[in-house]
Amino acid sequence: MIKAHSYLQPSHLLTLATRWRPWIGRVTLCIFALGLYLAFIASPPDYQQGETVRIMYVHVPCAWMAMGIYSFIALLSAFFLIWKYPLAGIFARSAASLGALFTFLSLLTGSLWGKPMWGTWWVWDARLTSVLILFFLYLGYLALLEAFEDSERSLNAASVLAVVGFINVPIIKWSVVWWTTLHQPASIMRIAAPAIHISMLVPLLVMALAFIGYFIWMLLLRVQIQLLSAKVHALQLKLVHQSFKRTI
Amino acid sequence: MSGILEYFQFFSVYIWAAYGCTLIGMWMFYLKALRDLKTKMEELKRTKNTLKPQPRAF
Repeated sequence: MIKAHSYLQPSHLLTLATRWRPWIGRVTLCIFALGLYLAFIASPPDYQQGETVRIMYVHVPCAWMAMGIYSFIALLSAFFLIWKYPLAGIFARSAASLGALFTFLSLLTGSLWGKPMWGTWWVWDARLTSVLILFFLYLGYLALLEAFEDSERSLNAASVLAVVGFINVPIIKWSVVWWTTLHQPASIMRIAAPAIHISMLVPLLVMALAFIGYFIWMLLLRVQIQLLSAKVHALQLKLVHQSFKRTI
Repeated sequence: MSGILEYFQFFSVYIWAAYGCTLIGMWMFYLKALRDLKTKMEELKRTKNTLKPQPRAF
């Protein structure tokens, strides 16, 4: 019987990532196609915003992914700092650039939505500013990963930043409640039933599913790259050891 | 042709820009990751070849 933890061995994971990645990619593309159909054709315009509301179907999933990926990185970083589990470090490192991409896209699409609705590209409001801080946290994390020659030292420093920076995630979530902001309050993830109409909720959830699929697809690809890098590094060390033995 | 043009004009430039930037950004990220994977695989192959016993005269 194969034990569940055997799948967490790097060699097993590399095989699994290689085998499953193309299938996850295909399923993600199908969900994306369905999501785009629902977002552009099947969903109705908003009674106030008109057609511009369609930006929501890319902006909101991007923002959810930005916060979700940061929480994922913070959790893995805590695992790495406490138990020194190497795969946690590899997964956190692989997810960081994806998180930065989604945060950037959420800021960009938010700005493109803000201009026709609020009349401005940007305001220093609590929600927008806290998401911008999240983007800087991602950039800081990525910079720290390259800051030292010793990769473990870099990962340690980056993990501390990820754990400390997690304080920003609940601030983003509750910023629209704690402060008076131009940004609208939560309409889906709240204690009461979602305020959004079902005809808009379904395309939004399908697009969110497509974004999650894309995240898993890209994460497996990045993990595969990280594991190959580790393999190359180990072989190079072996090579140095061999040539050292030859010289003596 | 005019039907397609009408469809494009139906939605504002902000909508097309938001969808375009998102999809192009995600596509570029995918291409970059694929290129990195290819480079790493070639590097692994090269390193493995270097580790093979080489013909030695002495």
